[in-house]
Amino acid sequence: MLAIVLALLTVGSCSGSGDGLIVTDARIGMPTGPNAALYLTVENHSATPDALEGADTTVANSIEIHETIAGDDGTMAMRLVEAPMEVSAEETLVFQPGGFHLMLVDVDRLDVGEEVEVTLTWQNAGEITFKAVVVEPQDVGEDQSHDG
Amino acid sequence: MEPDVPIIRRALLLILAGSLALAGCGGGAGSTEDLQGVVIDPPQPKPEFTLTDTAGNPYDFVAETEGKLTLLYFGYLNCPDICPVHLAQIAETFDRIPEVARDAEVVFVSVDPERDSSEEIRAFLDNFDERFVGLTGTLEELETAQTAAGVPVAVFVGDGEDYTVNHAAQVFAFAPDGMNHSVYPFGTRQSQWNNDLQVLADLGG
Repeated sequence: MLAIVLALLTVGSCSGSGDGLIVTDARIGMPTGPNAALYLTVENHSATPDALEGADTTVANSIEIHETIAGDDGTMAMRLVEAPMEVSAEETLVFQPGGFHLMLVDVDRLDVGEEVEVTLTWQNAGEITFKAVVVEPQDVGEDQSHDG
Repeated sequence: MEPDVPIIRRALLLILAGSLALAGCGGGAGSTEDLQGVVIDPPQPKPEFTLTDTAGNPYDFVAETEGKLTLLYFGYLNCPDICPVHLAQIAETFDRIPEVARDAEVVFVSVDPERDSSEEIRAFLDNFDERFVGLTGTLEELETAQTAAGVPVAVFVGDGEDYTVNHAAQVFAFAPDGMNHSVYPFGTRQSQWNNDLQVLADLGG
């Protein structure tokens, strides 16, 4: 129980905001290869659209926006999404496993529980800096963590 | 009065399902009806292929996994979004039921021999469980293995260093009886793994 409360507190601290944009639930699956995936939610509470121009962190060479696309035949493919990536007025962008993710290219070794500073640069809102927590690879999903 | 009949029938079915579930928990002979993954009906035999393990030795899939609960997955190391999730979930289930893990074989086939060296595959798998087997081969050998397993052959998209791999994303599960009873697409829950690996282990050899 204590662990759950602590986890919730940790997630709560991993958010940042600027000018109507709120970033929450930022988490990185513990790197197991050359790259790692960063997941988060961006809520645009403003009446104007915005666009993600880039992302930066000191623990990786670069950050790319990727989308995983499921095929009809059980395959999955990864596609590079060219910035800027638009978020409409009042829209919520969800980066989650099997959908969009921010790929940390040539990432450093990171341990579970570590907090990593990430900056997202937006056309209107400018820079939003927040901390993403490193989680076990199986815990990156929104609802597929320890449920049994 | 008519509507009562289906309700009674449904209740009876529920009771029946409940007793089956209980029977499954008692150990001994399991039943594929308890599986929560995507059930393959009728069950399919193991694909026949030989690749090279991370120690450089030939690995005959059918011979090496005989009589074992076996999980087969095709992936690649530069895949941060979905590949680690499957393997980490399986490792977590193995931590919970070590008696199942002891007689199980997890086989990860890298479909990207250009980038994934044996050493890198080993280091990748050690993040999850040092017992996991990593296989590689030439593009031709890998194509043969994927075709034998009935998955679309992985496709490389893009060029230079930044290509990505379009590959099968489901894990194939073989019970100790040597048959493929179920597959696990991306999005499988931890609780489904916990349930199904026990059920599959009980499906006899």
